[in-house]
Amino acid sequence: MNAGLPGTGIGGIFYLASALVMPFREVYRRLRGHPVGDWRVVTGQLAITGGILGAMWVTGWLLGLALATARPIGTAGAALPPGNVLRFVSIALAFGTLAAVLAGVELLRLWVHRGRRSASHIRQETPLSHERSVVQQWRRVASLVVLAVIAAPVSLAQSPRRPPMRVHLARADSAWAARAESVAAREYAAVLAADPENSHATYRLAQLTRDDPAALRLFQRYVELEPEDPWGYMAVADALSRAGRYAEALRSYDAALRLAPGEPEAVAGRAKVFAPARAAAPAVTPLVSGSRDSDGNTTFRLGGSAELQARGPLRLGVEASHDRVTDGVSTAGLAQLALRAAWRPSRLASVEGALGGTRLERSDSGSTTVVPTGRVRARWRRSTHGVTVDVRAQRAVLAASPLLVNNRVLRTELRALVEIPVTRTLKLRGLGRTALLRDTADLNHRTALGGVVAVALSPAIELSGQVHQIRYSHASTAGYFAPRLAQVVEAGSYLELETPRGWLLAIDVGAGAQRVAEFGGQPGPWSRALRWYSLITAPLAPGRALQLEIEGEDSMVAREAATTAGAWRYGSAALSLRWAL
Amino acid sequence: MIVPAFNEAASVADTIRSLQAQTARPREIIVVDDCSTDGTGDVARALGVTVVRPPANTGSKAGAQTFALRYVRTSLTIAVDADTVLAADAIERLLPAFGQPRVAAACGFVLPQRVRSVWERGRYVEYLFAFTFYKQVQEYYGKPLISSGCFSMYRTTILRTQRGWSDRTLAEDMDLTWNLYQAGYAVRFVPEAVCYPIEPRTFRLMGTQLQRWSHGFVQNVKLHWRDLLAVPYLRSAVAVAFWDATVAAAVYLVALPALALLLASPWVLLGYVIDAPAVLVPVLAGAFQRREVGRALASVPAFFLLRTVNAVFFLRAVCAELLLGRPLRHYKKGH
Repeated sequence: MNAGLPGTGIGGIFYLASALVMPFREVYRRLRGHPVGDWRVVTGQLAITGGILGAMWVTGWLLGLALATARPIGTAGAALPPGNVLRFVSIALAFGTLAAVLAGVELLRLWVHRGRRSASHIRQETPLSHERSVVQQWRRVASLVVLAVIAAPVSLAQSPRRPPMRVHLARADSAWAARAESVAAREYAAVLAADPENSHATYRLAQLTRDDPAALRLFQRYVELEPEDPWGYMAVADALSRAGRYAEALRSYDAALRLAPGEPEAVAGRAKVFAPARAAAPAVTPLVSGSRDSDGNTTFRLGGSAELQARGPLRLGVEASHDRVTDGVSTAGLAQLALRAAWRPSRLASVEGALGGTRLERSDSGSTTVVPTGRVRARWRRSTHGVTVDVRAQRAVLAASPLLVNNRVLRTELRALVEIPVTRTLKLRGLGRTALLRDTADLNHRTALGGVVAVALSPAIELSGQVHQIRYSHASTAGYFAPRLAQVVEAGSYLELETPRGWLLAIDVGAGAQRVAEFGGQPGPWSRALRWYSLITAPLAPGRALQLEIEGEDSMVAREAATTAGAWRYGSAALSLRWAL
Repeated sequence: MIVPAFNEAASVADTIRSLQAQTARPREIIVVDDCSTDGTGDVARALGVTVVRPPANTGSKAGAQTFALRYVRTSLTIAVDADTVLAADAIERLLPAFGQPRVAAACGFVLPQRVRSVWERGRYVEYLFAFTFYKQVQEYYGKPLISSGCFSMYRTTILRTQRGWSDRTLAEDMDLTWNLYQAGYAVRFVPEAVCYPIEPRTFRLMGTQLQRWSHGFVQNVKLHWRDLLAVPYLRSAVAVAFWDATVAAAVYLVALPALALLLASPWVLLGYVIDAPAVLVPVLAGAFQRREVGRALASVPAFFLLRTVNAVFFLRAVCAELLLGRPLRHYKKGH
């Protein structure tokens, strides 16, 4: 059904004005960082509005001409052409009426939704009762009109002064009810300026500035003003948890529960922040790992990391390690130190990185060199099952053998992975990597391209078919194997199992074939290519877990590590303990 | 999907077939045979849909729809009048609106199924105008005035929370839409989802429908005005519509003829059609998209006749409901 009379009265003017406001509203929303609307709709409606305004102008002009030939249009417009008088009068009348009606509605709203409501009401917003009689309601409307008529001259006669606090409060509550947040915030602030101990305004203003650290201070102020209200403590806890201060949030929930034992929202809120409180707590993670390859190279690493208390989406930390690399004859050493940061602005996006330096201890001369190293990784997912983009940049030392360390081989790499879900179970992945390998005497270039078709049998199991191709710009004598071309065809499987008690087992295996073409030669025969990676996490207590990683590879050209020869097998194990303080 | 039907044997088959031909086919079509006496239930049953029948006539479309709500087992509920057919992709177009959890209802573009009589033509232009311009602006501001009763989709849990459709007013669709806004939910208008109801063919049928609509509008304003004041934009749109239904209607019906007599000038009567060029712009824009410009141009005069009749009914409804305290309670079908 339609309400009113389309095309008549002030309805048409109202929608014309609404359409004209659209582009300004869009620009305003864009500037304020709010979600913007559909520009197609805006331009479409603007075009219609322009057409209507044009039609109105032409109609007024034609009518004016017609009336001028019929009879003069009064004395008021004697100096103006009749068309202009008509247009002026009709536009003034229409917009004046519309403005009066809209102003009347706003006045009525302020009057009807006036009055102060306690903070406890804020949490129990219920639709207003319909039970009041219509007669009573209309009597109020009539009274408002009469009052407005009487009050207008009086107000005009009075000198300008600031409205009393209760007027601000009424305006604020009305704006709150209408979800006009900026107006409500301004009015509540005005209330607090006049009455700093108004707990209702304090609570509401805090709710309106939820994303601002000021909200926390306001909620804490509310708790000072209303120390017996458990909801105040819960609001403080909620604000603290939003700010990533989970331990303090826990304490506030405990305070709320002391005042309101068993309050479901406090219990649920406490349970919600308990795990992140442990996860966000400062933690240390000592680590020990070792590896050995078929060329006789052995590495041993002792290291660890320390994370500071997480502050909202940001977490800072430091990591350090010392590696010893030996081939049975000579031994080189590496010491790494880096500051690291992780930022997770939303559930679907994250950025993490580390920046520091690596000190190389050569085995031949015993001299040391420090080189800057670091990494940054950005991940973004459009939705839970949407397109995923994973971009990484890294500068690291190749340290699979003493020779590589002695030659100071540094790899600076940029890699990108794009995952496109075709269906909920079928995903396509494309990988691209480009790396510069610089050593004391040479500069090499490595490119790798890959494609993966993955089928998720369940959320925990995935099968994939993969094709990869790796190229080097030339051969190297710095200690890493650099063929002209390596091709890998592989079937892979990824499995992830997690128990209700927090045990986690993840296995990533691949089996396939690969062939290599050295510089000046044709691709050799296909040979096997096997890889294995597994991760076991054993929870010890909330925030404390033991983690074991085991990795193995049997291939000529590893996709991740630096192989030291054309036939290469490799195995490694790493054990770490995360201990939240 | 709920299809309320009372003596709709002539049209319900077309409705059901259009639902069965949807690109996004509804899981179950429930026809509520509201104790029809013309075999509506048999027609529906023959087309293989679920037919439910209340123990006695519910007395209104709202009653029939609410009766059927208990049989709905899907997360979304569609209500379609038994005289309305849907474009083949109407449901598919409407579904994305529910991607946001706050959306409780969504409706589409309405156009008359038949455009032959003067009243159908008038309604055709009225719909082209309102759904091309007014409703799209309302949608941009997030407040479509009504989720049309002839074809709307609802989130079932929310619909159940609202206890279905209420028969306390004669415009149950408006009542439900405004209730949803007051409860903090969103309503969407999707112009690409098109439905085609049968509009009143004769003046008598049109009069019955206009009486129901005008009284329903005034009853809803009376019932909701207080709560509507808290809903931005909607409060302004309703106030403007109410102003036009009362003051503008009075000016239209009384002031213009009086002024013409007073000034002894027939030119004043041009006021009835003075906005014709302005009305034509959105009407032709909507008709052009549908390649129906000729039909729209031929129907424009009927719009001005319907608008005048509309003004009479709205003014009568305002007088009866607000001034004389004689509310209309009996639900009468409009065709």
